[in-house]
Amino acid sequence: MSIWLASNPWLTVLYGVIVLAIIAAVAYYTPWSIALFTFREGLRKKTLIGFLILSILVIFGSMFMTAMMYDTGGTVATDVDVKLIKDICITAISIFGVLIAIFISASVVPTEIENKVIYTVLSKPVRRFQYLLGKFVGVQIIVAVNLLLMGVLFSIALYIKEPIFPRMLLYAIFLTYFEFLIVSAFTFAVAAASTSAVLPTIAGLFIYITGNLTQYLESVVNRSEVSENSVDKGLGWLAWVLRNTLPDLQYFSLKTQILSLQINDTPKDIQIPNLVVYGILYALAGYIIAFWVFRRKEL
Amino acid sequence: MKRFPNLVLAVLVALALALGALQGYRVRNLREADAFYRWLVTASTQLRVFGTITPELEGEEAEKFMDRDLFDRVVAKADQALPDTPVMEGDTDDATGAPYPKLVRYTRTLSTGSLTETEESGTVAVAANPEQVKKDAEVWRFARSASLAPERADFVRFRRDKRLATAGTQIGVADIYKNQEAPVSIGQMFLGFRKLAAGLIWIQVDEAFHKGEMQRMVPLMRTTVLLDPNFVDAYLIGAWHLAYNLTVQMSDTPGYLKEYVPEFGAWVGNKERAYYAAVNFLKDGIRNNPRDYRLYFDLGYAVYAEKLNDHMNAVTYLSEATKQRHESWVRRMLYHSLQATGQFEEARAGWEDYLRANPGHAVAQRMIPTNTALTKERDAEALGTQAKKLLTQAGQARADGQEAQAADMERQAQELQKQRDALQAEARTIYTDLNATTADGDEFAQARLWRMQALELHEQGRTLEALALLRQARMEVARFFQEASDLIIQMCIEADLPLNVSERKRLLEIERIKEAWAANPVEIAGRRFDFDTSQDAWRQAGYANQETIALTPAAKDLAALRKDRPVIDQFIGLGDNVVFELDGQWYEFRRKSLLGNT
Repeated sequence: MSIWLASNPWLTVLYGVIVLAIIAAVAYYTPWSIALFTFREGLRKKTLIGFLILSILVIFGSMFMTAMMYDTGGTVATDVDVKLIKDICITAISIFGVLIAIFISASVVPTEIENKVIYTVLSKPVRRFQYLLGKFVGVQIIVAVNLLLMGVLFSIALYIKEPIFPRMLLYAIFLTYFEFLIVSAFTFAVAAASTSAVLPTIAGLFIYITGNLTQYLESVVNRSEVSENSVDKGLGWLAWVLRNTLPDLQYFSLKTQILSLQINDTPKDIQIPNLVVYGILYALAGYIIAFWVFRRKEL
Repeated sequence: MKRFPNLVLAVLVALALALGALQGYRVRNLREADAFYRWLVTASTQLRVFGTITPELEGEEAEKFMDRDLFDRVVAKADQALPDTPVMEGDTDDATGAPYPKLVRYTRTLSTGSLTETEESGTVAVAANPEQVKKDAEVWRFARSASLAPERADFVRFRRDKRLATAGTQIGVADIYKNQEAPVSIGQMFLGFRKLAAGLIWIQVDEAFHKGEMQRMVPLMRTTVLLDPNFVDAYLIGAWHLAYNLTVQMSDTPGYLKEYVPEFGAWVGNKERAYYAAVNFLKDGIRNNPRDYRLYFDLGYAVYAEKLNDHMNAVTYLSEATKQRHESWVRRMLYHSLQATGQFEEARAGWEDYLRANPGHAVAQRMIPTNTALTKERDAEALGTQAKKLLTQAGQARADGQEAQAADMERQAQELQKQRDALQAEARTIYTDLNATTADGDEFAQARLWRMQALELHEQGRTLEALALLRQARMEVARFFQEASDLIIQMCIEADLPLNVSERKRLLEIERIKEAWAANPVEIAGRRFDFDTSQDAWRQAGYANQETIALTPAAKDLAALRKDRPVIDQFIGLGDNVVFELDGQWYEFRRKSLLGNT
């Protein structure tokens, strides 16, 4: 049964159909004027620009860091400096990118409630799920544009050091977006229930951290298996449920593997589309929760 | 939706989460298959290179490791599942002569395209072989197939329980806490930034190096590769630090104080311990990155050949380096090591290939005649030894009154001597030509000429002239120093001539080593070895002049035996002459070729 679920080709086709249906529904139902307005509004936010500038500083700072290292120890010709630039930059993109995704997802709806713009919008013939969808899509455009910008800067930094077109970087950035999509969707769900941006921001950070730690639940499950204690067994069962339900953001660590592709690596042809589907499905769950909370909200 | 909106939404959320969870399961399965695929490549490579994938351990430790059991199960399934593939050159096990299992043949890196050097860099990376790419895709499909699900599950379980020796260092949360030396906080492991943490720790290694804090570097280096097992440069530079920088200020341990470590198959002092730490570090790198030629190259050339002067192992690893995608100079170092082990024909054939790919290559042009001359020199010395033996036998026959037989033997000996002289003359001509055609003279050819001349003089009884020549020669050609010194000592002893202070010191040291060896028998794998001072040889207990099979570093039999029974490395590391028994057969290993250290 388990292996049937893991590798059945028909299930893959079914997933493909579901994902295409989700994309088509989003494209059809999204009020693009709201999405674009959210995007334009997001670009004006000083916090986001701040994060972007910081990320640029880190990306180009990484070059100085490795340059100093080279000056003092450059007796052996290696690719250590390029590897360090890649690691530092992808980490900077991950940290600042996720902060941008969290801050923007946490603030779009509460800000509109606070400055009362939402009342004007909802008085128009726009359904609540559409309004929320527009906002969500707008957030995603901001996240994607920021990510793209950081990716371009990263490519330039890398190109200066190693004049080869960093093709694998595109895949890494692409995967990073789907990691952000999950964090952004669940942060958005908390924001839909909130009237201020503080709580969703904290929740977003919490989601990102726990999302990266879910694999440690596996060791709880393993330890409970060898224990005879019923409490341990119960905890093990709970850990198993959480392990299998909560999104695991560590799966997206494939992005760092792609960046420093080794000759003995497996082809990534299957893994990347599977992660894309994974991101989209959890984002859908996040969005439905957001709508569930938002539809009965008194405004 | 309108009647039970909450219910519908709850069902939708549950459905989306369930689909996500199921997809998560699929992704997890793929990640496990990914790790499994890497292990298959590693285990197959190790089987090919080392001849075994299970460490030679005794008792409980041996039972703990499941590598062989699991690998055999996968191999059996691969024979059914993978499409047939022809057995190509290099696909046969030297030990048994049988082709490797299909899985091993599939995961083997295929020899690739051109070896031509580019003018700008002098090196060129050989492109990936398209056939290899196809085979890798096939193995990847096999690794994640449903038929292999039980083996994959076992792999995950064994790896978690650290029961796979071939899997290289694997990190777990507990490891960080257990490793008291590791200056890394658990926080650095979080949020998927392990590789960055590895990079930042590596910067500390660099800092420690420049501050001269060598001892601090070792735990930092280990932590780095623990966090990022694919950080190949960390393995390479780390091994370089261990083998070169850590040992640079250490003094040599006198031979008689060295301890025999069967695990290394060598007598070790402080420096050697660091060299073997580098060997182990690089081997761990190979387990994690089995297809990176740089790891094999550094292990073979930088450590085994350059530091340990162990060209036998150097050939093993450099050969493997040439089977991966590699740069052209890797082959050159392999041919040099082949020459050093006395495999002159193989070295010459390699240089000829190289010259065909790089017409006019200066080194290849020199090394082809050099190896031809060495082959002739070796054959000449063999003929000389044979002739001497015949003359001794003839003397005996004459004493026994068998005049006709003695005369026949003498005639045969003379014939052999003629052949020897002809070969020596040919070798001399080659060396003279080499010396004349190279602008500043060919150091190696000159040293060989001096050596031949000195031996001739010694044979004619003109030992003093021979000694004078050798003493001058060893000063002029640095790489000839050891060989010339050994010859000087040998000639002086034979002619009963006095030695100078440094030669006496050297002789004294050798005697002290022999005394220490004679006083301390060595136990290896349940066998006792004693040093026989009269024969200068290590003998396994129970040897009573039984018939032996002769083994030399250049012998193909030895390479095959070492693959089949890696424990042999622990025996032959004892000295230059070792007699041992294996499966009822006695072997005599002689390290020194007739030409000494070339």
